[in-house]
Amino acid sequence: MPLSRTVFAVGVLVSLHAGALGAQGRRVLANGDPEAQLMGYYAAVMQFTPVGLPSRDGRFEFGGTGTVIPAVSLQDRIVGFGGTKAEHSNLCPVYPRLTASKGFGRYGVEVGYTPPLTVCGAKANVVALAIGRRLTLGQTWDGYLRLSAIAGSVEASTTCDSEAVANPLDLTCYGGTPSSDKIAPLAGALEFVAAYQGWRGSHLEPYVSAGIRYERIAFDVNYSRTVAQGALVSLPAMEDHNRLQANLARLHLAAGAAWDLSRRLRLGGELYYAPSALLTVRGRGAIAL
Amino acid sequence: MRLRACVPMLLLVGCTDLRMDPAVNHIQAVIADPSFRNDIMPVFRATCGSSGACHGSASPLYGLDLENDSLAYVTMVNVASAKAPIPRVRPGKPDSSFVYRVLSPDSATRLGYYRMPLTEYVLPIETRETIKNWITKGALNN
Repeated sequence: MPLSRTVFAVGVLVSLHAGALGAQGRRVLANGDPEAQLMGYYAAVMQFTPVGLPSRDGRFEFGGTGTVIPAVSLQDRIVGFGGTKAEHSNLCPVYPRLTASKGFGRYGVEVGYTPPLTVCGAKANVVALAIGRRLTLGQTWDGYLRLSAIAGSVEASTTCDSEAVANPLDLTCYGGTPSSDKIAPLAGALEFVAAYQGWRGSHLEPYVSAGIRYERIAFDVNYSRTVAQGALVSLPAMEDHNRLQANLARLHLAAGAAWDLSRRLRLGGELYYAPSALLTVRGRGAIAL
Repeated sequence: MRLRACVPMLLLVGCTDLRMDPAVNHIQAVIADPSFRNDIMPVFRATCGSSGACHGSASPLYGLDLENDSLAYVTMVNVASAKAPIPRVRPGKPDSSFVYRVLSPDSATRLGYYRMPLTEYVLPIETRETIKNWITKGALNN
């Protein structure tokens, strides 16, 4: 990739993340803080893993991936106010992403994008980028060193959703305006993929990978219960416009395979495990243009 | 749900591997002789006094600062309550301490005031009893 395009891509990632700034206060969470753990959970969902390596023959592929988002138990969502307030974060069961990839000899470039469409009450706008290089490990194994990054945000009403503001037992949210919250991950990952080449005759390329990722995740809370709204429900006014920030460095593992179903259609699947976050599956479909 | 509990279903839906330990769970059993700094303040800070919360140092409501250890003590112990005719904390007398009484789920015990913290769930009984013991033992700044 020419240097100017790389600089442009990095600029896009940084500017997307900077767009999430603007909350009034900021609190940096300790790594073990349950709020940080929950934020890291969703950042792990959004991580940009290959789900099958870019084609080695240099063709341009366009498609999409889907990551299953396991529902988080109520117990694990009671993280606000030290553990006395539940977050309403179980929204979509799948995280979707459009993807495009192209090989350049031994190198591969992948781009991902989740466009800002409101689905399940959440509106994402997340860009992902990855570059990698194939290495020959032996007659039947290829290595692939891959550097990836994601940036962007997902907007949703997770602090006080419409159900919470109607719930008299929820003294934080009751009577207020549903919150307009935003999670904004900025993450980078370095991973090594070992891909088995012995089944290329069957158009199947299984692989295992291990990587390390650094995540700087911001969560902007934007909730109000005005004095007038509070008076209607006999509760005090509440204003919460803070930014919570978590900085996490963690490992992840994956195992999967890419399968060339036809000359133009390529499928991929991956089992992904991020310790202290989640175990999930990702699927990918792409067509060669 | 923990990782070991969901291996059979992982190919269908995946599972979470979160290891949560909220601050209010740090007191697993009632502490007979609690420390203000080590046992009481971590709970107050997490539930009432973290930055941006109602009793955070940035703008502590009614002057009650529950974020900073030393400020919390001097704005709470033997200080008149702004909302009730009893002190916020009266050493040795939990029933005459408004800070303790507003933690109760019972409105009469709270003298009709809002339950604190203003969240869905009351503080666990182990935590409330530990706070009660701290006051009963003299509300020491230890």
